[in-house]
Amino acid sequence: MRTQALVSTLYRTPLLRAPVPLLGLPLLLVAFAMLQGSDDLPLRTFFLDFGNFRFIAMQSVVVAIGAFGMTLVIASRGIDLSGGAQILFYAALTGVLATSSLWLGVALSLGLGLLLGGAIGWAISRSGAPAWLVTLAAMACYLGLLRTLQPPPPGTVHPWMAVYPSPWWIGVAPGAWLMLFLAVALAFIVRQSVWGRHLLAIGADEEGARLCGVRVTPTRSLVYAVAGGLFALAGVMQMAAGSGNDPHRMAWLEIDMIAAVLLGGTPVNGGRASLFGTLLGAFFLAVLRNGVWQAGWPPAIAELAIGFSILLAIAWEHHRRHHQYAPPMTGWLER
Amino acid sequence: MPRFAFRLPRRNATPLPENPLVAFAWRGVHLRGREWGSHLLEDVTLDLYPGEVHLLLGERGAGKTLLLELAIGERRPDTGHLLLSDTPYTPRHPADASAARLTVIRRQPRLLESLTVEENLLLAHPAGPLEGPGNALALLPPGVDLARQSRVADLPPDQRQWVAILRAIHPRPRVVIFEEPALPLPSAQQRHLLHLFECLTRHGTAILYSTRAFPDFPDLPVRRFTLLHEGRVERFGLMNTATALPGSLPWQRRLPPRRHFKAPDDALMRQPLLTLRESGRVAPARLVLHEGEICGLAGRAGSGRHALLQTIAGLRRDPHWEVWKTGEPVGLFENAGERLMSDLPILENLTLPRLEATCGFITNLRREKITRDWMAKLGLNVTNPHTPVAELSLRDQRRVALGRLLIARRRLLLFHEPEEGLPPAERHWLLSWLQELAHSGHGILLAGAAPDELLALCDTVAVMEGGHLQSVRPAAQWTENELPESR
Repeated sequence: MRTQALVSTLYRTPLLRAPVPLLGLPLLLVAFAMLQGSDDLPLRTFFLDFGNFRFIAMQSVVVAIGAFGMTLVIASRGIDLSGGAQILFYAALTGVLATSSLWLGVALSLGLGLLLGGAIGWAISRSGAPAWLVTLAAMACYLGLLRTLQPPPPGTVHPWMAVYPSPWWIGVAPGAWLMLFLAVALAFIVRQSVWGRHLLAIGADEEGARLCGVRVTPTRSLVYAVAGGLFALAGVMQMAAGSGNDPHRMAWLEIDMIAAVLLGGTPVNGGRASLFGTLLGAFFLAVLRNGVWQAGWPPAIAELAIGFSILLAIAWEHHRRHHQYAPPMTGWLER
Repeated sequence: MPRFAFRLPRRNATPLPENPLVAFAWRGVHLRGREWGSHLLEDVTLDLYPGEVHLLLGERGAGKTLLLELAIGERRPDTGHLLLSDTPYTPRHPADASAARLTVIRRQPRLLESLTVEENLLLAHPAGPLEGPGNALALLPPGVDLARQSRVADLPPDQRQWVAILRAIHPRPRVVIFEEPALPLPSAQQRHLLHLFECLTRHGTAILYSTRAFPDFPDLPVRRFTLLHEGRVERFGLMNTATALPGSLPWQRRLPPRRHFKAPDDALMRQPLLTLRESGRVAPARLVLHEGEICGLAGRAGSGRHALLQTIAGLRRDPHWEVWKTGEPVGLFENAGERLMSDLPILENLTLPRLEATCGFITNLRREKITRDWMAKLGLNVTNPHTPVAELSLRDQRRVALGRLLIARRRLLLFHEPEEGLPPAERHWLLSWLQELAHSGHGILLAGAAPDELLALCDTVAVMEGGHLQSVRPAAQWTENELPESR
């Protein structure tokens, strides 16, 4: 009984909700630092270079910001499969509009992201159709919209996503700071705002939440709207990074975002959101891809590793669900 | 050539004896509860002889269903063992039970809804004949016309019950456990059960008839009974001895006298909280609920009470009912803590209906104080408001669910089976709390209490049958025998 209580205490430690990136990140760092790189790229010295970490931070920005939106959606027991397509679309849209005015492009992208995201959420809530189905249709729509745009060729990197930012003392790209700020702000909102609590209540039990007076449709619409806004922001960052508009990367953005959420300890069944976990998960993915790339291995290895780490996270979550609660102690202990 | 067919391992390799002394037995069975030091079953011993009908009596939560679950391998005893035809029997899966020809009819039978009657029966016993002499459908009572090709989902509750019964007795079982089989059946068909029992026992089948109250038909061919109370065998013996049964069952307690709600003086014209009528019926019964009144909703299993409550609460739309409410929202208490967010702490669950917030952001201190106050008021066994609800005992979970309902400050409260699975003391607590609520001016619609409790507690009692409101009368005009046993 005592070991059971110990196990349940361990499981409920918030840090241990995201064990794969927590344990995996140091492991990866050590492993990649010890690896011998290819002949022309001495990995041992380069991987642990601060410049490389700037690069990794920059690389994780797009996935992380999108994954924040995905975290909110998954915490309310939904899924947004159109996330990757949205990021690509808004990247292209901002790119097109940036030829006339960058800020107009950013504002229009964010506004459109909020609006269309809200529409998706409303459609899911009102139709009662499964979220994956509606967002799959939305994905097709976004990809269709993407094809109508003619974005400028990629290549120019905006200072927002510069690996070496302009006042040198800010260390990493402004986009990375934005990512960090968003994590803090969203975590606070989910924890402390009425909307955040209602979001989690819907994720835990929709009918129960409705009985408690939660207005499900507006709340869920706002969840998808905020997610759409975050996808649009990620798209802007994608544009700023100058590596926009390749539809073939789309699938990986989807999987990376969902992987970051699951690795970060947000359960698939909703009811709990861990935004710092998501940040950690996104960083883990970026380190993995970067290390594999630097070691000169084929990228397939990184993809395999990501797949396996997702499976590992799911297995952990499953085990945690069944062991996190100690048997209730009533009687003399509690009184 | 090797065969690669997948085979289930054979558990009962040695053949069972032809004429066993005991058809089935639970011997000294202990089952620990989730709570530390609590026992669900304590040293329960029950023998079933071949060809007998054994009556298992016990209130809700006494452990009748646990015995059934042990028999089909859904649970395993912590100590003690089971016997099947004089040989030790350790089922690990319901498939083992059906391989051993032990079948059950549960209170809420899990039929395969989208399949036909025939498919349901054949799935239980693939080789069983559905045509010719000795087929299963010939065992139906005379009035029941069960089409083989009709989908189970389309059947009324009594016919579904017959499908469940046929599915269990179709494979010619050694042992059958009936759990409240007569409840969904109209009284004309209940007598047919006796005929079935006779057919079964003639072939040596042992029958366990598990029920809350002694069944209506007195000529049930029962020789012996066992009375369970809070997981222990309270009494057992022969039916024809002078063991007082069922006159004074040990769990019946009296509720305190009702204190009635005093409406304010200007309330002569007061509006009812709820008026309910069926549309499209000639002279439909009308249910009116005022402040301070308790209305009981009696009915058999599947009589549509739950659907009605959900319709009133606005969770489903049903043009069949005309519901007039005051504009304010309605509180619905549904059976058990499933409606609670079990991963989240008590704090989150209790305060969800009324989040104390300024500018959309929650004020933590006030919220925690409210939670602590309510926890004290509800008398929870835990003191930490951050305990996840999943760690609470059933009693505490039910109390948290009740507290959440009260925090929402709804005047009209709907209760669906609030006492299911609770021990008697806790049920008593719950019912007296309902009285208090009515005294303070809430209107309460209560479905799923025992008839005696309804008559003791309610102002009016309505009876539902087959999705229709049959009649609504003041409680004083009903007698206990007129009300159907709920569930």
